[in-house]
Amino acid sequence: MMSVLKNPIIPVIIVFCVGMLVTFEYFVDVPTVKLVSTELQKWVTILITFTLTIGSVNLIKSQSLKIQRKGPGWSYSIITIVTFALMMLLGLYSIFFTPEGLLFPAYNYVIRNIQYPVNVSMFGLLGFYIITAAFRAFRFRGFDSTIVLLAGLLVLMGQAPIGAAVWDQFPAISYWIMNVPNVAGARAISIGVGIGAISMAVQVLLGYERGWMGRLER
Amino acid sequence: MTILLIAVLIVLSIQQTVKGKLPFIRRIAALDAIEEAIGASVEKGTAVHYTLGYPGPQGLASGASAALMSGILCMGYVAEKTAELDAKLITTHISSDIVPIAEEVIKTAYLKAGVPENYSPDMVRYLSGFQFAYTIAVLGIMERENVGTNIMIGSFMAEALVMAEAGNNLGAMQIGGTTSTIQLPFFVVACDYAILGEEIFAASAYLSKEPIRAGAILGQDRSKYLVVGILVIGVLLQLINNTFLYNLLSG
Amino acid sequence: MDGEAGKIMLKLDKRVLYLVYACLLAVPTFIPMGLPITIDSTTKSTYDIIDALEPGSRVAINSAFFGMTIPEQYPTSKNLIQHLFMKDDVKLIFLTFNVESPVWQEKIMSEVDKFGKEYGTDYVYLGFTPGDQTAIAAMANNLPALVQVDFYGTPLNELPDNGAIMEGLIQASDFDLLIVITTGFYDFFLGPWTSQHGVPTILGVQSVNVPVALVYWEAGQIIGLIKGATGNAEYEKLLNRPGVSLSDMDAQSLAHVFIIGLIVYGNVKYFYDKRRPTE
Repeated sequence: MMSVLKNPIIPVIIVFCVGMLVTFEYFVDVPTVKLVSTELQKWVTILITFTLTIGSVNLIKSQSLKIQRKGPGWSYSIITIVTFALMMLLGLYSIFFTPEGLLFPAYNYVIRNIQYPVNVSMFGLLGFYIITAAFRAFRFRGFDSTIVLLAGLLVLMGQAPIGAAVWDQFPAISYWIMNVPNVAGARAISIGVGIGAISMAVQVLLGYERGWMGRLER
Repeated sequence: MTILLIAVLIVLSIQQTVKGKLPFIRRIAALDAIEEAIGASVEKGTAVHYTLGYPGPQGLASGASAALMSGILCMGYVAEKTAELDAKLITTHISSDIVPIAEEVIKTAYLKAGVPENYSPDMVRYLSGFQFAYTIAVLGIMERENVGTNIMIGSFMAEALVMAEAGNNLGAMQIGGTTSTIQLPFFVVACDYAILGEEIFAASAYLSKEPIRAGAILGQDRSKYLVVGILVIGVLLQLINNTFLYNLLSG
Repeated sequence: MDGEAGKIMLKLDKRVLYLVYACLLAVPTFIPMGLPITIDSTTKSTYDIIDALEPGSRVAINSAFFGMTIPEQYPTSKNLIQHLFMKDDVKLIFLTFNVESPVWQEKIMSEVDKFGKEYGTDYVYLGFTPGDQTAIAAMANNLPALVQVDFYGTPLNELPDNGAIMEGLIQASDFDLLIVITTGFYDFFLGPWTSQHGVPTILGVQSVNVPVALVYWEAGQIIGLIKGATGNAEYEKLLNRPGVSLSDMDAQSLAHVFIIGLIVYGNVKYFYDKRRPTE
């Protein structure tokens, strides 16, 4: 029995059947197909939630190993494990033991006053990194880079109120750059990516591609 | 209907390639640079970091799964090279469902290279399910573990520029690839080599030289000709106020 | 550019740049410049569509708050919800598919002026539905199958008037308008809700997502778009309710001027280095 289950063709067949059902649901208007597809999609959610356990175990294992070996930055690993445990306990307590659930004040407090400011601060780093990236990127190096430079300058001036205050045509020029060449380029890349995604889906559904099983070769 | 047509084209192209010869895939400098980058890391005694990025909360079940799959295939190639060249590999993950796949892929790569004893579970690290918690952790790892090569191929969002600039500040050699039109410019600016858009789908065929994957690339190219043809015919028909093609494709 | 002064000027520490940038962003907080802003067609279209909603319309609103998107998406959500509350007899059904959103949704609801609208009669919050893309697609086909109770645990058929607000809402096409405020995950709605079921859709995106969102705007797939912080400021002006976004525009202006200055400086340095490569 176990040797049958280990046969690699079985997951390929499951993927094919489930994938084709969910794909057909998009094209046909049969209530049974839609019902089964909806149910399967709910199952996916549950399965993904269970994979969080795998991730959590991996996290605890790797951080514990670092503490054990006193690897570089091992003190941060202690903080990681302690905060992980605290947040997990707080979340579980909020959901199961409080009438407010996710709106439990302590949980709310941690989200709004710890997690949110830290996340936003890290996101704010992007603003600073963009300065150095723009400083390096926008150069009069050749024809292509000059086009990029000019387009960048015009869009920067058009997007902020100060541009319109300097010259009232900046917003219109910026609008044209964003809505014509930018959209054309974005569409072209989107079409290519979309075709690539269909190709990958076909390969996975028909069993040509088995990388999702961890097997890079057939 | 177009999706079905494209799917049929891809299957036919795969069948044709399997039976015939491999189609020509043009040189992609970023992929050629992977081995060079890993070699440089070995010489300097630095680590190789690989990340698949942030596909969204649903991981492999998200809309970015195609890019993720390509990233996983490239990760296998990178793992083979680090195994062959005896470089230290660190792969970091934000999606928990990819962790077992990554472990399997890297273990298999080390087995294929003949050095299964060099595989360490520490090569696969799940850091966090949250985007910027993951990003901060990656920055810490890059700094503390002396990362000399930073390879970012997969699906990325805002963390792309943060990781790329951090790698740049460390002087790491960087190779970045994503299908996201928003993050591509950041990779072009901050990385030494960038894999643009659908080139990452060609990456697996380019690196493995497998007929099936090469056939899929051929099918994609043919599909693009089909799409361009439809576009040109559609524009010409619209110019003469004929909406036949528009109505046909609108359903 | 010759001599010691030139050498000092051209060797610029990144940290100095970051400090100057941070100070520039802080200046408008104390010294507002009050630069006038122009209203973009995407913002105007959004405003007009909401303004034209007829009594009895039912609007689905999805706000996907992730920690780092709050500064741009919170004002978007608040402005649109405020405008919707200003309309007569427009029913609002709030959905969310990410776990952080309920906390922020509650905060918005405590801050907006509801003009006497009642929970359960005029608006309902369906709370967090797990599953992301799959749940969004499933909900487009069969909402009651996925959600039977609201966020507070009340069965939907026990809401006032036997759950009249939810009556007849089976599929996405039963809604009159869909508003999606998210970063990068609007594709999850545009496929099943907009394309498949034909719900008129308004997007509220972050500034960084605007280049891609414009593709949908130009193709006519969406009928309104709020472009991040700039869009928020424009909407506050249209609503005549100045808020944090309008005041942020001054900081944005200074930031853009600073970056342009740096780009010019970078090019000067580049040509100087080319002329005098080493000394």
